Amino acid sequence: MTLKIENLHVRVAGAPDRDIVRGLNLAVAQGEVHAIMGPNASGKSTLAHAIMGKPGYEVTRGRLLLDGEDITHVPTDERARRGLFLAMQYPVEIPGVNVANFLRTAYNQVKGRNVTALEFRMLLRKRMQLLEIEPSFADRYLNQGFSGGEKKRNEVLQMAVLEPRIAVLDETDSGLDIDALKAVANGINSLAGPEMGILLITHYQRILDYIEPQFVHVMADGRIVKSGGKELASELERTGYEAFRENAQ
Amino acid sequence: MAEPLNERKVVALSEAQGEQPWLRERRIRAWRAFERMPMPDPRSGYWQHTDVRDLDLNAFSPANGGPAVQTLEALPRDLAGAFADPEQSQAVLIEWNDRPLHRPSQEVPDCRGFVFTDLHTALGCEFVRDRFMTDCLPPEAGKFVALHGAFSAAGAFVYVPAGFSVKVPLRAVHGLAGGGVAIFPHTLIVAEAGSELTFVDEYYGGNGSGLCAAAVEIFVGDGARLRYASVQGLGSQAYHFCTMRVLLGRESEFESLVVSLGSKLSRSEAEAVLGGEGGKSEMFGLTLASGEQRLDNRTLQHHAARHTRSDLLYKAAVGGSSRSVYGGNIRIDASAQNADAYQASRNLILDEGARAHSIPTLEILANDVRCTHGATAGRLDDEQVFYLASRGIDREQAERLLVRAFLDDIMVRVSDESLRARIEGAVEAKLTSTSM
Repeated sequence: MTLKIENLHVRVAGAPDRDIVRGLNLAVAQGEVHAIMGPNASGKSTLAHAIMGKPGYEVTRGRLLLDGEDITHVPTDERARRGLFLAMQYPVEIPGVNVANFLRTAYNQVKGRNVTALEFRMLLRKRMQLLEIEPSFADRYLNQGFSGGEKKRNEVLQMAVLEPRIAVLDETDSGLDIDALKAVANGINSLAGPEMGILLITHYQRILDYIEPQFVHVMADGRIVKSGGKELASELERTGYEAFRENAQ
Repeated sequence: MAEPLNERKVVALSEAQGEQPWLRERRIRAWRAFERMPMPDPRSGYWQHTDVRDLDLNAFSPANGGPAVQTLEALPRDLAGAFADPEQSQAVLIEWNDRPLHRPSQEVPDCRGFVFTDLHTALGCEFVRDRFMTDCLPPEAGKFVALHGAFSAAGAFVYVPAGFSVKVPLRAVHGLAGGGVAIFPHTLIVAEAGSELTFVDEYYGGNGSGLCAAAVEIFVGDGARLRYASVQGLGSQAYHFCTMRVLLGRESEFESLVVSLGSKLSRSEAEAVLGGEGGKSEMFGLTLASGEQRLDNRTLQHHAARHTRSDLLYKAAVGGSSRSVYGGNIRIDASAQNADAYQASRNLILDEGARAHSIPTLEILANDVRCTHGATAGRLDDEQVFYLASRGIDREQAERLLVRAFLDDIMVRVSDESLRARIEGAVEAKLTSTSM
């Protein structure tokens, strides 16, 4: 499966006079790991939300293709069922819904199955062991009272259960201390493979010390201004984003 | 065409059942009270938003004069166990169209030891005569209570002697077939000092038109602990009226949960009278309205003694073009110093056409009390819906998850597991059968 982003322009409900993403092109195939790096306000999170079809993020030009099929106007839940996933920067808290029930509902819908609570418990336990997550996690209310690290690990756990073909990780490293970052990165690495394409969106280079991308893209002012291999990340580390901004103009 | 309801019919039904004169006289008194009272007016505060003026009560025939119907259709599946399992069978009363299908016990009680039997059997006992619609809920309490008093001969009677603790929850299941039938199930519970009991009334029915005018009277003795729940899952063309009143003794504790799921129109009144020092009541309500339903809940927290405490949380989720009403009154008598009362009404509105009304009323005559109340109404959270959608969960499933989440803080209060499972099952069935 390939996610192809063609000349994408995105406008956000809160800022209606101009596009935040402005003519972005990118293709991510299963088995590939891409990193998009960019400064604040470069449009990274807007891109992530637009890929998942969040209401309020309007595609004004261009399109999104999943294996050649136009999904620009396909609803979010349908995109997820077709194999897209977004690990969120700020996972929402849902008191009253426990992790296991939530994930079973999602699993049944994404996989088109109807596994019982007991069957699912077993499946979930395996994934949790793999990611070294405490079993009690399953009975907690979704993200409620979770630490920053727990929230991000919960996003990775969801990825492990739903097994998307293309996963977008929006600033999954933000707000994590080094131990939490390692744990989350290990989790992502254990899931990466020929079946999963990953688009890692980040501000900082440090997560790339743990997850090695094949492709690195620099985003500025709503578009990709430079693409390259992993060495591009090190270059960024030395020069900062400013050089690329000027480049873009 | 059924014969209209009238005094002659009240007497005829009483005679047909071979009732004692005292009971017949009480029915006549109730009927006359019913006739004196006008149909409730939606312009008056107590019935605001619920209009029953067009309800033709003559369209319904009391079931208790008719033949017994031997059918379990429309009753929940788990009841089958009551016929086989002797343990369970002593804890369940099952009635269909006001006729017992299964009785926990058949002996006329003497009320010296524990009793759980059907009301018809219990009415032969003097103890019951003194408490059936007298001090707790006299027929004059309301239009539909009076109607109930004129015709009610079915339901449950429980007597728990002092210091006695009933280990399993007792259940009374009231079935309404529909087809223009009216039922009048009554529940009378007397829990003596220091006793403990959990009791559940469940109302189920078929899809035809029907009327259920129920009443519940509960006496909680000094230091006794009583948990009460009612689950209303009547058919979509049924009318349901129920008044529950509990009289609380000193240092007693009462907890209630009123679950409103079924019927076309439902009006449920729950009143706790804290008449003994140190008494405590906690009342919960859970309402799911869909389609064209009109579900109305009223409560009264009446503090009539010092150092009494009451807590209340009623929640309603409304979808389609349904309406829910919550009217809550806190009354603190001048004699009830140091009373502490809390009341909260929370509403979740799922569709543009649905409405949820909350009407709090406070009547506070004492000066040294604590009393707070609050009402909120909200819609589903867009961020939560998006989060669920991003995991492949469609709108319908997301709504179901979020409605259950909304009701969760009430569900977790139900400590008996089998009861909680049944309530969850009924909620789940409602959520899956209708697009809320």
